[in-house]
Amino acid sequence: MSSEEKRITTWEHGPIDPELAARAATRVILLPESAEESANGAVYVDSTQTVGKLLACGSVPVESATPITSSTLLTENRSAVWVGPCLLISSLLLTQNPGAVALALNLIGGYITDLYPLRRQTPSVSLSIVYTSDDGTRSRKLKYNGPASGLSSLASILTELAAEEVQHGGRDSHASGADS
Amino acid sequence: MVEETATLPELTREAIAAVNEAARFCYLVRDADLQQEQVDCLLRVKDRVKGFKYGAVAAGHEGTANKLFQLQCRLNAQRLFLRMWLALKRNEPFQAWDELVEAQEYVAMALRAAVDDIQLEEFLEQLQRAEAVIFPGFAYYQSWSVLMRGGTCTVCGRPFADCDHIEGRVYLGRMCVRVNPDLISCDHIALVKDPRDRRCVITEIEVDGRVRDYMTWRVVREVAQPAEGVATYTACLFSNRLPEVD
Repeated sequence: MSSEEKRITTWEHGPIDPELAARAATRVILLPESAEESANGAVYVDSTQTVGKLLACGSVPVESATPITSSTLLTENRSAVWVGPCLLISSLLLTQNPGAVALALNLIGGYITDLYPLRRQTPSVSLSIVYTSDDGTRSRKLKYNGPASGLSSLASILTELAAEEVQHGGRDSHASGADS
Repeated sequence: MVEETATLPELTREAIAAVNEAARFCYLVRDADLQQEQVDCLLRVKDRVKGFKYGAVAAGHEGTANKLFQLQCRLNAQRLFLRMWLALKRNEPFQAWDELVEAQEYVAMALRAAVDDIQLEEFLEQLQRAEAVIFPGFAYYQSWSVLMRGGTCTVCGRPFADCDHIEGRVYLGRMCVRVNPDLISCDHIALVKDPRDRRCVITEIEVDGRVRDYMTWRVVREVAQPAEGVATYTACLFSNRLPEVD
């Protein structure tokens, strides 16, 4: 896949911890790389702290699922694809503060573009979003792979998911994949 | 100690004059001693610009400090481009490659520091043309994934987890980088087409039962018993030479 191509895949995701879902109602939550914690605690992608600082600097309410300190384990992948943290977005945040999610995606996309000024093509990004109902009982995961410039398109997909949520009170559990 | 003053336009003119003079020596046929003189000259001008940058930092003039950091990076880039030619003359092609990649990285840093009004894009194109003509090209590079923790911010010196600086951005003439993290373990290594660090190249590769130097294509050694369907290679996994970010 060249960095000009964009691929968004979505599938059903397991329920979200209600306490975490409640926190996500008012802010973007940065999730660890995997649900399972290691013996040393949650493992985050190394860009998580940077994304947290970036969003906070842009006045987007944000926090990590667990506190990130100097002893938090981080994974660093030294390929040119910029790997972002997984963002937990609540339907409540989308309806009550729709601009926050769009702003967050724009801030991340702009940051990555600035980070790689030498690339002839716009730099590649890999980023996941877990979209959850306000109570955490239903959630879907979106995986984005593609150019940084296409990240903002995720905002409209999330808005559609929120509209579906309102219309149908959530989807039954069936997996689907969508490439665009 | 003599106190010296200079305006930003004066320092810019001085830096660009040094760069333009050095550019006359960025050819293979130029004398190595004269090229080394230019390297030394660029280093002196760079240190002078950096000194004034610290003055701007002390005065809290962020715009001026960032502009001077941009000049500092431009001078470093030109210096490394010259060093690439010198390394080639010493028959050190991998060193030459590192110098060229680092020169390009300095241009990237300069582009991040301030608006480009010193023809950085043109210089970058020159570096890319040199790369295409001099080096054989690399289909794959080495990349790794590691588990780490901690690290310090190059802007404020505090733990990276505790400060507000954003990696890759320039603050008061310094670029924010996370340095000195604790490496816990290596998860995997991989061959990738598009690495974060292009200095991580294949250095030797097995072809038809012979191990060849990837740059010179000289036979380094014969393979005693070549395994069918398996070829070995040697690569640079990691380079810890950090660019000047302060």
